[in-house]
Amino acid sequence: MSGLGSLLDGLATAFAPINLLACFGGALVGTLIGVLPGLGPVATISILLPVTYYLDPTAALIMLAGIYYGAQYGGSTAAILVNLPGEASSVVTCLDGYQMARQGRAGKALAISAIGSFFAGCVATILIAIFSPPLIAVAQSFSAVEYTSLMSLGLVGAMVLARGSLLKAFAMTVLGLLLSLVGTDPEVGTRRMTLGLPDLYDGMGFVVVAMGLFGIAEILRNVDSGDTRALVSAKLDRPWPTRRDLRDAAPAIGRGTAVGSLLGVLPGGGAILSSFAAYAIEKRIARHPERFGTGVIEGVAAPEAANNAGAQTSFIPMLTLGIPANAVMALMVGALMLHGVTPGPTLIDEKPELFWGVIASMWLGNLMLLVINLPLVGLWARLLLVPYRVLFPGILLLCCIGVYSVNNNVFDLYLLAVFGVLGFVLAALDFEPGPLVLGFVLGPLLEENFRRAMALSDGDGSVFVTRPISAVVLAIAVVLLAFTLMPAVRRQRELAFKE
Amino acid sequence: MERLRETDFWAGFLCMAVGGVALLLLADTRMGTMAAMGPGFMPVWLARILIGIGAVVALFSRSSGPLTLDARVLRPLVLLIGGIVLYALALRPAGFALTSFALLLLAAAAGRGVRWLEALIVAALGSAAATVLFISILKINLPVWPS
Repeated sequence: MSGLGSLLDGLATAFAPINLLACFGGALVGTLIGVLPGLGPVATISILLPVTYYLDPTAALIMLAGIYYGAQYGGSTAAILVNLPGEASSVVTCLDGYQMARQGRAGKALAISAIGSFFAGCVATILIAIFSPPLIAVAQSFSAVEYTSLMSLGLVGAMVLARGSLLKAFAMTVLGLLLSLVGTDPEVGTRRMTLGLPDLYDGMGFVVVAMGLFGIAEILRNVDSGDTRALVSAKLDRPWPTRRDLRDAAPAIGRGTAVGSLLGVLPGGGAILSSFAAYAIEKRIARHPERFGTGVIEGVAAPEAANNAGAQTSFIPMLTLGIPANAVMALMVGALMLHGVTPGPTLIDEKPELFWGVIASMWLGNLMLLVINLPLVGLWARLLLVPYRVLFPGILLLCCIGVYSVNNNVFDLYLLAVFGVLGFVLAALDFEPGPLVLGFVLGPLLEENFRRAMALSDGDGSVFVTRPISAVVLAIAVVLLAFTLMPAVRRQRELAFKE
Repeated sequence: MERLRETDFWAGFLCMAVGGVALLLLADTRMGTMAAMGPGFMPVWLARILIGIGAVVALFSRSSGPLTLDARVLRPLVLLIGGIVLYALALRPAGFALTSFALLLLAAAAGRGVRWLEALIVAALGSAAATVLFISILKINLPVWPS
């Protein structure tokens, strides 16, 4: 069956009333948390994880997916109207989006960001539908060797793409892997690094780790910033962009979509990186790069298209290989496992209605988001008038409840405090937590596959280079590393991250 | 001693310390061989690598310049982290409603220029809303009031 044909079947699944409702609910909640600064998809999805237990797996995944890409839409609203990124992936949207708003073009900026996101979402949906089946066909022949190499490539990718020193990013990756191995060894049952605490026998949850390192750190960073933000204009201009705006924005949307789709697939990539890269590229190729930051429409269109495309294509490695590309995807894997569904190459045959239903719902969800966002923007704007000093205690409370509700275990709250402090220390020492989280997410999978690969080859490490697919994957990783270490590229990279 | 002021010295030091602690904890864990890895194989090697990177970063890297610490961030750090610990301690004995109220109030104190009346109202409304949402609707298994 061709990918696009199955996509139509998927649409039928997505149009089932319960799935429509799940999709709408997810998109709405996603927009809400996207608008609120400091409350990310990781916190929200972990709070809502127990709720999905009452849904069937398809509806559950549709809702969680809606939260993730909905958050990208909402994040841009906050960025444009109050110069405060609701989501980390909207940081660059602030630069030109807020300037546009100050010039009385807020409606146009919001419209372009919604249209760009919608276009990117549609393209990403089609890309997932086209590329997943062949990828799955290849993946079915993968052994532990290929999985080990693929995950190594993912970790190298996250290191290369992290801000700052490559060596320190490497350290974070290793630390993440090490932390993920705390707990009972799955093969022989020996307890490792548990400090004798029974609560650590099952290891630490990634919700705790991700929320401590990102969520708590985010509140700490913003809490002292004071309340300098103000809604730019109480009355929005008409949200319809002019013909000229569209002409200016269209190529940028196209480029942003391409960049986002590509980077989203990379483990450790996803929405945040996509938007940064897209903005940097727009600036590089623009005829007047000095105009960026003064309210040019391309500076809004490209990153917004990119973060939405990236959010969606990051589903590809999870749905086809069972490898989560970031903490949000790890949560999705967790949600599926809760229902006894193991994501991986066999998913498409075992549960075609889930696989295609979720993909089709993304397109539907993007359409709903357009409706949720454009006419209701005034409502979201009013929400933004609530000052941060009123919001952040609530955000902290939601983080605590989210962490507690995953296992109904008070111990996880102590862990949250520990990782909150660790996040603070890491930030002070200029460490980037991104690679740590990816290492933590991939660690157990990596150990399992590496162990199996070595057992099958009788301890002969050369299998990684004699098996063709594995060799190619590792070669890409090496080239990526070597390329990043080249002095010229290194300077460019430092420059790019400074912007 | 110039080196002690570099951010990267302490960054590397942290890596070495964490790696060292991990090795201590793993001292009795069986390593096994390449073909039949024991439970200690991966974590011990990861800890060794971490110590190695840490040493290089501590001695040679200067990617981040001198270490600067802003004392003003200590107050929110202590209050927010303290709030989480307090929440964990009090949640079961004191119940969801009161503990949430206390956390909201404590967190509000972390900000600059605290407005106590506003904070009180927010904490009262917030904990009430959270109780309805999480205990009544989402049915998280927790006592609402002290038992």
